[in-house]
Amino acid sequence: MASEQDISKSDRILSEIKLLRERQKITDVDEPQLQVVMFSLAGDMYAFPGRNVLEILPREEVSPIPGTPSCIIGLIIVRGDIESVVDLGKILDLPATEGRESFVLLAASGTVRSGVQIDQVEDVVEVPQSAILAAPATLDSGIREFVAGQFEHDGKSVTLLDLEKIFAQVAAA
Amino acid sequence: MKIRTKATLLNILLVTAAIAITVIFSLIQIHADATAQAKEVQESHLRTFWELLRAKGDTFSIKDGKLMVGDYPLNGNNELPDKIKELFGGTATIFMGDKRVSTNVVTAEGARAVGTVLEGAPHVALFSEGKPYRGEADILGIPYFTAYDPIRNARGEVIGAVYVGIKKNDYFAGYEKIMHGSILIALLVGGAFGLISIFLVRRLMLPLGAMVDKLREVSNHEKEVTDLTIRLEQQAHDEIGLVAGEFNALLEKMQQIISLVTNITREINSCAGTVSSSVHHQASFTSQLSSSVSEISSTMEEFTSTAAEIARHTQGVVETAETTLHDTREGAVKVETLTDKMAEISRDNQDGIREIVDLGRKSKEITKIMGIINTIANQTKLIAFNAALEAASAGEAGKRFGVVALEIRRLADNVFESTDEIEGKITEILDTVNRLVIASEKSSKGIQDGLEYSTHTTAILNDLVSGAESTTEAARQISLSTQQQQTASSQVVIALRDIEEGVRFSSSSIQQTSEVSRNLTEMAATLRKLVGTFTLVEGSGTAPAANSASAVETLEEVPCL
Amino acid sequence: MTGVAEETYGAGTELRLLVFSIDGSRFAADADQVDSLQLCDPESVPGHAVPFHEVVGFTGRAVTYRCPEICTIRSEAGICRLVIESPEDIIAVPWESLRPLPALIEPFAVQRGIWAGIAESNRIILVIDLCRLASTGNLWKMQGDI
Repeated sequence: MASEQDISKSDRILSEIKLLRERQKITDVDEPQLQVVMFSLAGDMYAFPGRNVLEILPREEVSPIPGTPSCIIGLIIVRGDIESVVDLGKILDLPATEGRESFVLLAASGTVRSGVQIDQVEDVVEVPQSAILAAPATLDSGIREFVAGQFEHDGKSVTLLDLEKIFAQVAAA
Repeated sequence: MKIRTKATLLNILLVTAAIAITVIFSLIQIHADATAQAKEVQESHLRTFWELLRAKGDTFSIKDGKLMVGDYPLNGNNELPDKIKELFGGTATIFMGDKRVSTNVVTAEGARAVGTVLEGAPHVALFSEGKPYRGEADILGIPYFTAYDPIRNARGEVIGAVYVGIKKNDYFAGYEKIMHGSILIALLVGGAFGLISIFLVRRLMLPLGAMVDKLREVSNHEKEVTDLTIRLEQQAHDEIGLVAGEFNALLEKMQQIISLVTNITREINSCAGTVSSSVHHQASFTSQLSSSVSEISSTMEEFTSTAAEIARHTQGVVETAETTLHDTREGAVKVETLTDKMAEISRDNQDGIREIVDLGRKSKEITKIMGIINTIANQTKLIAFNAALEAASAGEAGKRFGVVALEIRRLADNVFESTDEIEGKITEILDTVNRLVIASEKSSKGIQDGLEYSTHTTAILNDLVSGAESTTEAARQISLSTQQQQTASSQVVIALRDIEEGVRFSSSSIQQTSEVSRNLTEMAATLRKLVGTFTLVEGSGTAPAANSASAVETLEEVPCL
Repeated sequence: MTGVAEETYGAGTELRLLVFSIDGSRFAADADQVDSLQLCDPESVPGHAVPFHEVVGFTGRAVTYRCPEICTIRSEAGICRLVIESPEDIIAVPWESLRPLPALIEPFAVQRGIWAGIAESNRIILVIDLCRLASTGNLWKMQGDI
């Protein structure tokens, strides 16, 4: 009696799992995905679309360059080429973050290419397009013009940024 | 009595005596002649009487109470005595025994003086000795020469006596006449000589009287002074003149002597004063000395008793010091052992610390390695991220590559987790190590402190040991010294007692000296007074009076010791 | 600049650069542009010489020159004297080693005469056109003015 009951129970669970997996496969295929590079800056989570990020670089020595706006940190050498580095925190008018581990995302928008200094790379993930929501009206005015959307990841709110607008802001400074 | 009178009297006496002696010798001769004559007469009378008796009879006897010569009774028979009276005058008596039986002596009443008894010397001579008696006796108020002869019977026994008496006056009348004349002449001659003598002596003694007056002036009794300035007059060149000269010389000499004596007295006085004051000083000094000595003596006795007490205490100290030394040595040895142990512990602790520090360092090295691993993991993760980005840009072909990149990322994440865990553990280890190091260092410091303390303690104890040794030695020395001191102070006390005795003796000596000095001063004063009675020539005078007075005063201040 | 035009441009052509550091940044100036270099006392820098950091844009920072030198530049426009730190090196750089500045930076940098960069191992040398710097900074002075 007991063995019969057990077999029927395991069968039932197995069939349930299979069903679930089938359903998942369908959503995976159907849902259009967006690759994002998530990073932390001044304690908050932000993200750039994966297509804008060419490479994630560890923070290297930045040579300052005179006569430029304060949001431009300076120049770095990436495989023999000279790239500029901008301070995203300053552009987004975030409080300065001193002494944190920092990375540079080598980002590109159109023809413009520059390094963007961030605090920490969190993850590179695929996010369903449907999960990306419009930016809420409650956002700070300093940030709002650069925000492309918002989504949830692991219970945290992540702000998706528009790189093109950011570069435009730098050029306009 | 004046010499003059004396001389006069002497003269008179001598003259009178010479005369008297001459007269007396003459008188004695005359008297002797008269007496001899009277006695001869008496003897003849007696012989006559005997013859008369013998004429009556040959033998004497007493018959019937009557004295008989032969046959002739004699009692109441006054024939024979009356015959004598007739012949010679004078008295005659016959005794029977000692009783008058026949006499010619008639009493005032005219009766015969018979029946009376013979008494006195004649009785003794006659009847006791049987000898005749010759003498003088008053018969009826008239002096007589008496002569008694014993009457013996035939056997020679004295049975009576015969008596014959002659009146003295019958023989001494001439003698008395001569005597009266002689005395008269002697008196007259004496008186004449006396007058002459008085005159002569007076003349002779005149200068002597002047001398006496002068001398009286010299020794004025009323003023009680002796004036030595006065000199005698030298009138005659006889003995008196010589005496005056000699006396003047004597006065001169005396004056010199007295001035000398005065000076000497003055000196004695001042000397006595000096002696007195020095005696006074000495006395006060001695008294001071005495009190000081007695003070010192009592102090010394106190000191001695204190010293004895100290000695006793010191003995206690010595014992305590020895005990301390012993204990301290033991303590030092123990602390040294402790120090050695501490040093061992310190070494072990240091080794432990070193090892712990080594462990910490190694842990840190591990942390470093973990950092490297983390860096590598980070880089791996970064590569994985970049690979994911690359894969995404590669489209469908990159999908599998993307899966690989994801796996690599997970691996990196696992590494992270592991390293995190290791880091946590290492942090724990490091914390523990740090705590251990801190604790060890603390204990090391404690041990070091302990070591230092014990080293210090050892040093202190060693010091203490040497100190205790010194203390013990010192205490012993003190004890010894105290004993010596005690002995010494006892000796000092004895010596002080001797000194005290000496001072007392000295005091009595001083007192004696003082007394002598006082006597001396008194004597000096007396002498001064005595000398003062001499009037001297100016300049050798009586000055020392004041000095002596002050000396006496000073003397009176000398305290009795 | 007239002399430059006659030269042959292309790969392998070298540019002689005077390298000096200001406040941790390295600059390289075309040696041909420099007329003369003259040492001067750091205590008494002449008033007619302009400190380099002031014109290049290190604004709001106090920059000290350990060993200042007066760099004189001549052009048709006149003479410019700049105070620079004593050059540490003169290097010959082939043209292909020069990198154009990133797009975001270039419009700002050109205003200061900085027109290219050299990536030397992990350090960057900023190549500066001193004549342009003088022109943009309006530093040209006539010979008689000094």
